[in-house]
Amino acid sequence: MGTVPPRKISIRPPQDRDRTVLRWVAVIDSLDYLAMLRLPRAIPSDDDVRRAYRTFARAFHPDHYRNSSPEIRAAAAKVFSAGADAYHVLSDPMLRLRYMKSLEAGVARPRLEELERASRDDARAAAQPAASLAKTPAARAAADRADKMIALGELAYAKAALEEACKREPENAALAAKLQAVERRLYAPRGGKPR
Amino acid sequence: MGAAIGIDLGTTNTVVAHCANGETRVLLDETGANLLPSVVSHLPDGRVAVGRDARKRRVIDAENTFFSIKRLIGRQWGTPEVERARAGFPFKMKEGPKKQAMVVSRAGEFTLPAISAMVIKRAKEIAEAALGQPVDKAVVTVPANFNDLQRSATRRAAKEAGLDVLRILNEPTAAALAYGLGAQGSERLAIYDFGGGTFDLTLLEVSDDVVEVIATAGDSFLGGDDVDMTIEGQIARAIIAQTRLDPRTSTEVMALIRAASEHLKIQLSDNETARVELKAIGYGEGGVPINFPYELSRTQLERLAKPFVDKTLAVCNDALRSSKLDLRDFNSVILVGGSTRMPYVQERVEAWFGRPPRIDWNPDEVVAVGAAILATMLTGKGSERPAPPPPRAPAIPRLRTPMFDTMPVAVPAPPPPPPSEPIATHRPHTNPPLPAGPAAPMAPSIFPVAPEGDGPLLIDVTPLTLGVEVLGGQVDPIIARNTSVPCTRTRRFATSTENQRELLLRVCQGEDPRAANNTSLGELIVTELPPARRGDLWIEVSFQLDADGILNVSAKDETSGREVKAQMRVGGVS
Repeated sequence: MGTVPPRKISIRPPQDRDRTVLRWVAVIDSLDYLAMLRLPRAIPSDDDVRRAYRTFARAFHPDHYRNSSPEIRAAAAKVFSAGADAYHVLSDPMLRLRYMKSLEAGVARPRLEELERASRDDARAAAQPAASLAKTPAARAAADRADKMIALGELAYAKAALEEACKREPENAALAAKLQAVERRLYAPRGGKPR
Repeated sequence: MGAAIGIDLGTTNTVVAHCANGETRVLLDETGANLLPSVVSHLPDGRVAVGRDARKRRVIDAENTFFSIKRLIGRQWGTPEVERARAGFPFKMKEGPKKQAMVVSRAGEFTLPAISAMVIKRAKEIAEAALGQPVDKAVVTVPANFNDLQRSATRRAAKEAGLDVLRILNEPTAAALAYGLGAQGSERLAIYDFGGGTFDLTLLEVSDDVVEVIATAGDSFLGGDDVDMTIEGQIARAIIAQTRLDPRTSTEVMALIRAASEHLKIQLSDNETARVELKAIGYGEGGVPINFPYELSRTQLERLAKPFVDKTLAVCNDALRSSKLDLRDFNSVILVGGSTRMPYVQERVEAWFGRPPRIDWNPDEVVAVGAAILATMLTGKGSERPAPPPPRAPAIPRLRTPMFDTMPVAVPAPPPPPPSEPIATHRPHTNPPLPAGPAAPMAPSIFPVAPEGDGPLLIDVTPLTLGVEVLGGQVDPIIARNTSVPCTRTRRFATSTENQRELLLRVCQGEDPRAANNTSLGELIVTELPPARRGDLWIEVSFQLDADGILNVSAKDETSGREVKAQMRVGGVS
C-alpha cells in the first residue's frame, strides 16, 4: 500500500454539487450497474467492486446531504439506493454472472427480482450433479466426467470438462452456473487481506 | 442550539457520551457513576425514580419497578417472546391499544416506549448537568437485529423524552465507530457484542474514514440475563432442597435471588469462587428469619454459561457464512457488552478466532462512545466545507429516446454531448472487455462531492430480510439482509379479481422461508385502485428502508404512473 496522495481542495459553490446530483438522478434509472459505479465494461473483481462502491457511497450517501434542500436530499438518496443495488448485484458472483449476461443481451437494468430469481435457480443448479443438467448426450458425457472429477476434488479437470459441456450447450444457463461454481471453488481466495 | 449526545439504551444499563473537538467522553452523573441502570420505579408518593434508586426498589417494591423493558419494546402482545418474558417479570402487564404490551404500576398504565422515555430523559438530564448546556439531539443505539417495530418504538421513546433522534444506530456499528475511525490504513473487524439481553456479531471493513458494515447477525433473546436466570434456578432449587421453602411463591425473594445471581456472576469474573448470603428468605419457628448462604465456583458458572456461549458462536458462524468471507480475512475480534467480561467468554472467543480478542475500550462504554461520534458526524458542518473541483467539465450522458421517459422536467437542458472518455481510476483488467451494449448511456463523468468535504462516512446495512407473504405462507424476500441502507426496492403486483379495489400484503422480517416463523410487521394495504380487468392492473409497490432501518411504503399504478394510497397497518390497526 503506497502513501495516499495529498488531496487538493479549492472552493466551489455548493450549487455546483447540487447540479451534479440532479444530473445523476436524471439518468440513474437508465444507467447500467457498471457505468453507475464507473467500472469499465468488463467482469469486475470483488475488490474493484468494493472500492468503486465505496467511492460512490462517499459521493452520494444521504448522510452527506443532511444540510441540503429536501429536493437534493431525495435525489441523492435515489442515486445512492441505485448504487447500492449495483453493489448488491455486482458483489454476488451468481447475480453478477446473470447480470453480465443480461448486459451482453443489451438489457442494462433488468428487474432485480427477476435477476435474483434466476440467480437462485442457478445456485440450485450448481448444487446438482452436472450430468442431470445437460440435455444432449454429448454434453451429458462431458458433464458426467466433470461430476467424477468434482468427486475426486480435481477441480481443474472438472472445469475443463464443464467448459466442454457448456460449448456443446451454449444456451444452458444451469450448466454455466455449475461451471461458475466450480471456478469459484477453484479460485477461492484464501486469507486475503483487505486493501 | 443544543448539544448532540450518544445514548446507549441498554437492557440493564444506559450510558451517555458526548464528543467535542475530536475527544469523546462518557458523561457521569452527580455521584461519578458512568452506568445508569435502565430501571424505572413508581414511588408511593407519585414521584418516579430512575436509575440506581429505582434498582434498589426492585427488591422492596417489585410490582412497581420496571426493568429489562428493552427485551419487550416494540413486540406485540401475545407473541411468544412477550409471554415468556412476562412469566419472569414481577410487575404486571396488560394488552393496550394496537396490540401493544403495557405495564401497570400504582401510577397507572404505561406503554413500553413511555417507560424507556423516562430512562432517556434521565440520561438527558445527566448529560445536561455534565455539559452545562442544553441537549436536544441524540443518536440512540439498538441491537443490530432489532426489527422495524422495535426501532420505531425506540425512536418514539427518545422523541417522548424531548430529543431529536439523529439516527437509530446498531450497537455493534457504534462500537466499530469507536474502534475503527482513526485506524491507520484499512482493516476488517468482527465485533462480538454480548450484552445483558442480546447478542450480535457484526463484520465490518474500515478504510479511509469509511466504515462499511459487511454483515450482521444476532439473537435478540440471548444475553447475560439468561446466565443470571440459570443461576437463579440453581439457587431456587437449592433452597427448596435444603429448607423446604419455595422461593418462587414470593416475588420479593425471587428479586433477592435475581440480584444475588448477578452479583455472583460478576464476582466470578475476578475470583475463583463467590459467596452470597440471602437474608430472610422465610421465617422459621418463632418468627426467626431464615438466612441462606450460597456459594458458586467459576467452574460451575462455566458449566451453566456454556449453552449460551455455544449459541453465540453458532450465530458467529452464521454471520461469517453470509459474508462469504473467511475468518482469516479479519484483523481482529473486538469484545463489546458487559457479558464479555466473563473470562469464560473471552476464552471461547479466543479459541474460535485463534487470536486473543481486543478490548481497548471499556466494553460497557464503547457503544455510547461510538454513538456520540456519529452524533457529531451528523451534526457537523461538513458539507459547508469547500468541495474540490470535479476532474473536468461534466459530460452530459447521451440518452436514447426511450430513456427520456425517466427525465424529470426540472433538469436543465443538456448542452451538446461531448464524447466522454472513461476515467482511468481502476486497475487494468485481465478479463476481455465485453462488447459494448447497444444502448449504453454514460454516467455523468464526475461525482458530486469529494469525501474530504464531508468527513467520515458510515455505510450501515439492514440486519433482517424484509419480505412479503405469498401463496402457501412462503416469503418472497424483497430486501435481503445485509443490504446497505437507506434502500429502496420495488415489486410489481397484478390484481387477481375484476375491478379489484384493494391490494393487501403481509410484510414480515426474518430469515425463515416460512412467513409464520418470522416477525410480522403488519399489513400493507394499497387502496383506491382504479377499476380494471383482473390481471390488467399492475401496481408497483416501493419498500423504503431509511437509515434508521425503519420501513416506509408507497405504491403507484404502473400504467398511469399515478400514486395510489398505501399504508402499513400494525396488528390490524392503522
